[in-house]
Amino acid sequence: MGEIHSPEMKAYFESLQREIDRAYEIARKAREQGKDPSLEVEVPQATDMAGRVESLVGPKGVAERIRVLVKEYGKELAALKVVDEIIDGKFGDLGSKERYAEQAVRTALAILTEGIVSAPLEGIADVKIKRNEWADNSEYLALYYAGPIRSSGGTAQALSVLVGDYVRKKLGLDRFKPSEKHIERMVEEIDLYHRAVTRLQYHPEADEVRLAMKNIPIEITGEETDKVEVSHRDVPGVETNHLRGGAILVLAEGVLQKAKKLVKYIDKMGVDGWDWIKEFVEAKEKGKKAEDSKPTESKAEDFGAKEGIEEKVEKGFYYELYERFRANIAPNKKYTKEIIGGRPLFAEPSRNGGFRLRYGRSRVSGFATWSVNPATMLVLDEFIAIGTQMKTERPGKGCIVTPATTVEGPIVKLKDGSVIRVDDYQTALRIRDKIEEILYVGDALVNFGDFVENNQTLLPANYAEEWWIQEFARAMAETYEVELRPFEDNPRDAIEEAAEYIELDPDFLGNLLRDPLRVRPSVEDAIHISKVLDVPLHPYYTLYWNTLGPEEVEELQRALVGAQIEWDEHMKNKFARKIVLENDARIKRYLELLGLPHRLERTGDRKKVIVVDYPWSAALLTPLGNLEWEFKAKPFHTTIDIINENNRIKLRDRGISWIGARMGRPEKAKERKMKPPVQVLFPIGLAGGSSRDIKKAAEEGKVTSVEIAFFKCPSCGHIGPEHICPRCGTRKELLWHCAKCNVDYSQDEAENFDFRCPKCGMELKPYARRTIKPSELLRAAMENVKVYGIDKLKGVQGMTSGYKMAEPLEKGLLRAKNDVYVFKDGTIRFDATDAPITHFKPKEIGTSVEKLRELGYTHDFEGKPLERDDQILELRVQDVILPYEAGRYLLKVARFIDDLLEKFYGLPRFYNAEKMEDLVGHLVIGLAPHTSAGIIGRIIGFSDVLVGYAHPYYHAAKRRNCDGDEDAVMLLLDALLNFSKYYLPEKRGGKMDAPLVVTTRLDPREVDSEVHNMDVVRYYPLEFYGATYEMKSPKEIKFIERVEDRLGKPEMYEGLKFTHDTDDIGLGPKMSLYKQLGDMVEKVERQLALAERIRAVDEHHVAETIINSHLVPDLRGNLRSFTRQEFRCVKCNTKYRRPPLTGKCPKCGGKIVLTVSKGAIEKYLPTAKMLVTKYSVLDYTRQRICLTEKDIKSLFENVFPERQRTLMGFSADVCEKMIKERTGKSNGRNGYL
Amino acid sequence: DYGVPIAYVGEEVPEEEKSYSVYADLKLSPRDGFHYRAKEIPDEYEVTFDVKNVKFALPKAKNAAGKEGEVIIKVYSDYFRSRLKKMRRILRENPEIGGVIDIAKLGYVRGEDEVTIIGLVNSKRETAKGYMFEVEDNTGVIKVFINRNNEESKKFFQIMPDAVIAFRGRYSGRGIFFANKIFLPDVPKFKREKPPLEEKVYAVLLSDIHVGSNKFCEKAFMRFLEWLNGDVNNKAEEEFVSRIKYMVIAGDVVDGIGIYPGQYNELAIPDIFDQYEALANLLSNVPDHITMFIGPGNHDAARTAIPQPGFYEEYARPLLKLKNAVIISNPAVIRLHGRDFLIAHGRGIEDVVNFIPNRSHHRPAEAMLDLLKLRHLAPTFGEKVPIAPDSEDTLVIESVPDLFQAGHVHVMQYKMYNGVFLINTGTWQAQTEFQKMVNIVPTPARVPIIDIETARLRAVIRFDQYCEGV
Amino acid sequence: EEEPKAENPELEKAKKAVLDLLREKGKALSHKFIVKKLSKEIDEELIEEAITQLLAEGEIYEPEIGYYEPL
Ligand SMILES: [Fe+3]
Ligand SMILES: [Zn+2]
Ligand SMILES: [Zn+2]
Ligand SMILES: [Zn+2]
Repeated sequence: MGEIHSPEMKAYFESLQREIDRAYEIARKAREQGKDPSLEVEVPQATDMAGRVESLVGPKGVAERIRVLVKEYGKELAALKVVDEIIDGKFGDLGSKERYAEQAVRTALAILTEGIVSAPLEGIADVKIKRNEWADNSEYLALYYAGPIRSSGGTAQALSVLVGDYVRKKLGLDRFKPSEKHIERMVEEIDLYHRAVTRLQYHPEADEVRLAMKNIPIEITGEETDKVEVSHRDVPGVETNHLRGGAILVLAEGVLQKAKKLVKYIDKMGVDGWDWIKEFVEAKEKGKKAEDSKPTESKAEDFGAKEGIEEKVEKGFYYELYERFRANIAPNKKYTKEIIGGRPLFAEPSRNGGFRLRYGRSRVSGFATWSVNPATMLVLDEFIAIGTQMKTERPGKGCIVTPATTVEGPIVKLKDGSVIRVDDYQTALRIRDKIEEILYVGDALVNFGDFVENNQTLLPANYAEEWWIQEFARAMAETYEVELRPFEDNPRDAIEEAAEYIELDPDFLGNLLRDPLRVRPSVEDAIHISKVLDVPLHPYYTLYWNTLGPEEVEELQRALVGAQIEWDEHMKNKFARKIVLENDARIKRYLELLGLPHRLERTGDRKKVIVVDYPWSAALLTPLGNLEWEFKAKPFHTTIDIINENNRIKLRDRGISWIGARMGRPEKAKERKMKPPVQVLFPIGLAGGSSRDIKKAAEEGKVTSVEIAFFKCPSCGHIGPEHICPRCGTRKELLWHCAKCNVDYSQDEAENFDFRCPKCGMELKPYARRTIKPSELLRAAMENVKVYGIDKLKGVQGMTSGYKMAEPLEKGLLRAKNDVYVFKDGTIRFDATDAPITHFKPKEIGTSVEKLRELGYTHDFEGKPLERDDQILELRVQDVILPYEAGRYLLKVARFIDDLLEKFYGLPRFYNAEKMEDLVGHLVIGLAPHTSAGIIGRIIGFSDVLVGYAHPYYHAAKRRNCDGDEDAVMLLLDALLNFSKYYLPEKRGGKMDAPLVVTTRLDPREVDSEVHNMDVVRYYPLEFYGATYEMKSPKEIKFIERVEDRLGKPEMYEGLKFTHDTDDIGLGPKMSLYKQLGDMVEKVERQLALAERIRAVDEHHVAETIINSHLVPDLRGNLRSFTRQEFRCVKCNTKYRRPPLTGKCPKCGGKIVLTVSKGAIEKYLPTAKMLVTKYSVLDYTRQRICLTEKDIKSLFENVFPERQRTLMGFSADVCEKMIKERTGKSNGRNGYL
Repeated sequence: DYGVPIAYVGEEVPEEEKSYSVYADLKLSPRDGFHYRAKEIPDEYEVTFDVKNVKFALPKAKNAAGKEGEVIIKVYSDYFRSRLKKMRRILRENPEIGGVIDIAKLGYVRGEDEVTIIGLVNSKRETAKGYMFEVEDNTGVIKVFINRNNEESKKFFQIMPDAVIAFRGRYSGRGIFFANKIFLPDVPKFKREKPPLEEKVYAVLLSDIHVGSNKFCEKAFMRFLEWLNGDVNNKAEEEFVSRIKYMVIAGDVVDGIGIYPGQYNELAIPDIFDQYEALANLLSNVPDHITMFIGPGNHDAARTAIPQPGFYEEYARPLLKLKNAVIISNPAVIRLHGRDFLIAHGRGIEDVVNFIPNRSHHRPAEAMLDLLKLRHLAPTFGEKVPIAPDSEDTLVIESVPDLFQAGHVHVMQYKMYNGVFLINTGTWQAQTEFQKMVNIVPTPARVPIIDIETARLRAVIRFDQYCEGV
Repeated sequence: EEEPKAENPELEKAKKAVLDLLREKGKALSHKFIVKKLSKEIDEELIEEAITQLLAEGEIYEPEIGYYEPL
C-alpha cells in the first residue's frame, strides 16, 4: 500500500485515522454503559472495498480473501473466485445448498458494487433451489429480486444474473426451463410495469423479453412490489399474481439494456452459455446501423439536385465544417419534451444563442457539472443558482451548475437599445432589470471527461482564449524560435526576447501567458499580433460573424460605407475608433446578432443614431478590411469563409457549437426532518396528538398503549422501556412476548424455547402492546439529564423497527433542547446537493491560513508555500466544505452531542464549539440514499451556498455523481453514539440510507468509476481543438490525462489540475428564483417572461410544452384520481377505498376527509388558461384545456349548483371566445373561474 | 442558392391548415324506388330512464369554502346509501330472502337463529378454510365467513367490491357472521312474456365509432350508410334495411381530444368541433325515418366520470342539431315498442375483467352478465371506473331490461341470460397502436340487427372488408 | 538595359540571407529578429542596407513598420 501515497498523503490519512480512533474511543466508553440497544458501537470501520463487503454481507473472513484475489485477478474475476471458495466451504458450513447459493450471490454482487450500495443486502430477497415441475423436474436456481435492486444500477443487476448462473453451475444445478406461461408472464409484466408503474429507461420489445427468458439459465423472479395484477395468473412456481418490480428491472434495465456491457464481462469472466446475448447485441447493432443509414440516404436525396455541380464547386472551410456537423450530430430534443411549470427552458436544442460550448474543467466542475459565468445566472433571472440542476442536451442528460468567472457571460440588449457584453457580476447586477433581450446566454464550461463518460462525439470547439494563446505560443515558437508556455510563469529572458521581437510590453506578455483567460491585449495589439504572427484575431474581439448570412453582411457593409467613422492608427495599422450609423432597424439587428456592443444616441436634430465605440468599432471593421475590399456573398461560403479569403487578418468561428438546457431540480441544503418531525424514536400512539408530542401527553396525564420492547431488571425485577434499571442501575434484559397467551419470557427462556411460545407454539416477539405512562417516564428522564423547560418533545406514533426498541427519552430531551431532529436510524442528518471541487482558496471557505496549515495545507497547487488567503490550494480527497446552513445546524448537533456526553453518559464534552468555525477539523460521515456504506469526511470550512462541496472522489465514494444528486452528512460521533440497527425499519429497504459500515480511507480505485473519466490537466492542447473540428470520438483522444491514467499511483491523489479558474466558488445567486416564487401562475409567468427574453428560446413552444408535459397531466391525473380516490380518517389515519356509509370512521368515529381535494384538481387551471390565452399554442392544446375546464365543472354539477354568470356582450374568456368563433354562439357559461 | 449554415433552427410547427375532411360532401339519399316498410310503421319509443331527468338532492350548501370537502364526502356517502336502498328493494323481490336485519342489531339475535344481512361488500379474501367478507350497511360493519365446502361459497368469485349482497346465516357473537347462503341481486329466472308485435321492426346497435381517429373505418362506415340507403346485396338484406326503424349508438361517437397522452399523433381530425361536425355529416345520411338514440362514452366531450348526462352542448352542437336524433345519457333505458333496452357505454366491464377470474376483454358479454347479476353498471369504487359525486346512484340496474347493450371494449359478443339479451356492439375503429401493444384485437364494422319483438339478434351484417387494417 | 551598379558581393550575400530567412518562415518577421538572427554572420549595417534594398527592389514589403515579408 505504501507506494501509492506520497508522504504528505500518508500523513493526511494517518491524521484522519487518529481522529477516527479518538471518536471511537469515546463512543466505546459511552456504549459500554449499556444505555443503548447494543453495548458496542454499531458502525464498523472498513478501510477498503473488501472490508465493506465483509461488514455488509459477510461471510466472516472474506475480506482478506477478496484483497488477495482482487490483486491477482481483478475485481470481476475475483467475485467468481469468491463464489468458488464460498461454495467449497472455505468460510464454513452454511447448512443447505440454498444458503451457499445465497451467500455466494450476495457476496459476489457486493464485490461488484464496491460494497457500497445496499442492493446485495436488500435487492435480493431470497435465493431458492426449485424444480422444473412443468418440464423434467430437474433442479434449478431462482433469484428473488426486490425493489431496492434498483440502487445497484443496470450493470450490476445484469452481473448478478451472470453470477447467479455461475453459482448454478458450481452447484451442479440444471437450467431453468421456463414454460410458455413463464415467458408470456414476463412479457406482460414488463409492459404492464412500464405503463402502470414507472417508465422503464429501456422498454424492450416483447420478442426481446422472450429471447431473454428462453435463454437465461436461472429464474429471475421476485417479490411483488406493486399492487398491480397481471392477467397471466397462477404460473407454476411464481408466488404472486402482482408485478415483480425487482425482477422486471433486472431483466429490462439490467440484462437487456446493458447487454453490450454484459458481453464484455462475459468475456472477461469467462462464463459460458451466453452466446445468445452476443448474437442479440450484434443483431441490435446491425439494426441500428440500418436505421441510422436511412436518414442519411434521404439527406443525400435532398442535396441531389445540387450534386451535379457539387463536384466542381469549392466550398468554404466553415461551410464544409457546418455541413459535416449537421450530417453527424443532430440536435437532441429529448430534454425539451418535458418542461415543468416554473423551471425554465434556457435554450432550445443546439440553437444559436443558447449555451456556447466551452471545453474545460473549472475548480468546481467535472463529473456532470457545468460551470457558467455568474453573470449568466443573474441574467437568467436567478433561476439558476449555484447547485441548481439542469437537464441538458449533451453530453449527458443532466448537470448541476457552478460558477466560473473566466468564461464568457451573456450578451444582452437593454431596453434603451444598447447592446452590452456582461462578463462580470457587478455589471450583471447593474443591468439585470433593464434587459430587453438575451442575445447570447453565455458559455457553458463542460469538461472533456464528460464527453468520454457519455461517449459523446466531440462538437467543433468554439474559438476561445485558451485556444488562441496556444496558437500564439506556437507561432512564437515557429517564427521567432522562442519557447513560451501558456498557463504558467515563463522564464524572464524568454519573455523579454519574445517581447522585443514583437514589440509588446514584457510584463504584459508574461501576464498574458500566465493568465490568458483574464489578461487580454488591447484591440490594437490584437490586430498587430494577428497581422505579424498570422494567428486568428483574438477571440474577445471576434464577433459572431457566422450568425449572419453573407447577404446580410453585404447589406451591413453598404451601411458602413455610408457611416461616419473616426479612424486611428497603431504601428501603421489603421483601426476605427468610433462608428456612427443611421438607426436602421435591420442594420441594428445585424449588429445585435453579431454580439457587437453598441448604443443609441440622440443627435442634434433629435434623430437616433447607432454608435459603436472603441474597441468594438475596430472589432467590427478590421475583419471587413476597414472597408478597403468589398464583401461579396459567394456560394457555399459562410461569412467567415469570405472574410478569410479576402482579409489579411483571419477569423476563427467563436459560435459553432451550442447546447440546450432547461432547469431541473433546484439546489438543496437543509436539515433532514421526518414527516412529521421527530426528536426521539419513542412511540406515543395517538396520545400526543398530531405532532406526536410526548410532553403534551405527559402533561395531560395520558396513559397510552403502544407496541414497544420492554426490559426486565435481573436483579430487582423492574420492567420498562429503559435499558438501565432506574431503581438499581443494572443493565436490563429484553422480554420476549407471546401475543396470543399474553405471557412474557426472559431472554434465556426465549432462547431455550427457540423463540416459540411453549404453550401455543407461536413465534415470540421482542415487543408487545403495552401500556405506558408518558408522565412518569418523562419525569424520570428529565431528572436524569436536568432538562425541564422544553416546549415539545416529538416522538413517533408507532415504531416500524423489528424490535420496536425505544430510544432513551433523555436523548430526545437533549435534542429538543438543542433544536435538532432525528432520522429513523437514530442519527441526525443534513442533506445537500452534491457539488464537486478540486481546488479552493482559504478566503472562500472562511478558514484562516494558520488553521489550514495546521490541517496540512502547507503549499498551494503550484507548490508555493501557503501565505495568503487568495492562494489556490488543492483539496484533500476526504475534506469537505459545507454550506453555512449545515454549519449552523451541525453546530447545534455538536452541542447536543456534548450535552449527551456530559449529562447522559457522564463523559467530558468533546466539541466545545461556540461558532461554526470551531467545527473545522472535525469528522463527518457522508452517506447517500440507496447505500449502506458511509465515508469519513473532514470539515475544512464553510461556503455561503446551498450545496455540499467535496472532492469528486468523495462523491464517487458515495456512488453519486453531481448531476443533481443529494445526500447527507452527520457528525461522526453522533452516528457512533446514536445509530443502532435496532431502530431500522423492518420493511424492505429499511437498511438503505443507514451507516452499516463506514469507509475510513478513500481509494480512488474503489469509487464509482464514472469519476475516472474526469480530466486533470491545466489546459487541453491544440491537437484537441483540431480533433474537435474533425468531430472525433472522445475515445480517440489519448493525449488528455484523466483520473484513469493515474490510478494506482500516488498522483491519483495529488497534482490534479483544472483549466478554468473562478474568482470565488460562492459567487452567484444562492437560491434559485424557483424556490422564491409563489403559486404556479407566478412561476409560469416568470418562466415565460424569461423565455420571451431569450433569443434562443421560443416562448410559444415553451408554453405548449408546459401545458402538455406538466399542467395537463396534472389536471387530468387529478381529475381522474378524484373520482377514484381513497378516503381517510383524520383521527386514526385509516384509509378507506370508498367513504363509509355513515360518513364517519367505523373504527374510531373520526371525521372522514378526501385525499384528493376539489382544489387539487383546479389548482393549475388558471395557469393553463393564462397560457392558452397569451401564447400561440395548437388549437388542439387550447381545446384540451377548455374541455378540461368543462370536465371539472361538470363533475360537480350535482354537488355545487352552477354559479350563473351574467355576461355583458363580449367575453375575454379564451374558451368562450373559441366557442363563439367556432359555433357562432356563446352560451356564456363555459367560464369556470 | 445557398444558405448560411446557422446551425439548427428548430423544426417549424406545421401550419395548421385543415388537411382533413369532415365529410361535408357526403350526401346520400335512399335508392330510387327502395321501399322502406319502417316508414309506414308508427313510431313507438320512449326514453324511460335518462340521467338528465333525475333531480339530485343537493346537500345543504355550507358557505364556508373549507366545507367543500365535507359536502363532497356527504354526497359520496349518500351515493352509496342510495345504492344500498335500491339494492335492498331488488333483493327483497326475491322470495327466498327474508328475516333481514341491520348489522348493528346482530347482537340481539340468538346464536341459533338464522337471519339475513344485506350490505355493501367492502373487501373479500380467501382464508385457509373458506372466504371472508367485510360487509357494511347503514348501521355497522361486520365480518362474514363462508366455508369452502359450502357450494354457495363459489359465488365469492362473482362478487365485486362495493356490490350489495345478501348473506343468510348465524351470528357467532364474536364479531363474525357465519353465512350459509349468499344471494346476488340477480335477475329472475323467468321473464314475463310481452305481447307480440303486429309487424317485424328492427333496430341496429352501434357503439365506439371514434370519428376523428386515424384508425376510424371511414370507408366501412360510409358503406354502411349506403347500405341503409338501400344499396343492399340481396333480398334478405333488403328486408332488414326496409324494416330498420331505430339506431342506437352507445358512446365514443368521436375519438375526442386529450383522452390519452400522445393522442394528437393518432388523430386524423385533431379538433373536437370538427370531429362532431364530421360525425353529424356522416349521420345526416341515415334515412330520416330511422330514429337515432345517441349517448356519450369516455372519448366524448362529456363528463369524464359516470354517469354521463349527455354531450357538452357547445362542442357537440352539430350532433344535437340532427333532426332524427335523440340524445340519451349514459346509462339510459329506452322503451321500443314496449321492450326495455338498457344502453350503457360499459366502462364497468374494465373492473370486472380485472377483478373476476377468467374474464377477458375479448369476451365482454360475460363481464356484462356479471354486472347484470350484481345489478350494477360499475359496482366498484376506486378502481378503473371514475364515479361522479352524485347523491343518488343512477348506475343501479333497477328494472330488468329485455336487452342490455354496451360498448367500450371494441369487441362484439352477445349472450342470453334468463330472458335478457346481452350484447357488446364492437367498434368502427381498427386496431390502434396501443391496442396492438396490449394485444387487444377489436372486431370493427359489424352491425347487429335486433328484432325488437324478441329483443334478440336477427343478424349481423359485416362491413369489415372495407375497414383498413383488418 | 543594365544599370551599371557596383556589385557588392557582401551586400548580395546579406540580401540573400534576409530573403532566405523570410522565405523559410513564410511570415512577416520583425526587424529585431532578422538582425538578431543574422548578426552573427553579417554585419548589422549590412543587414539594414540589404533590407532597404530589398524593399526598394520590391522583393519584400513592410506590412507593419519594422516587419518584413517576402512578396
Ligand atoms: Fe371506445
Ligand atoms: Zn433493578
Ligand atoms: Zn402462546
Ligand atoms: Zn378513525
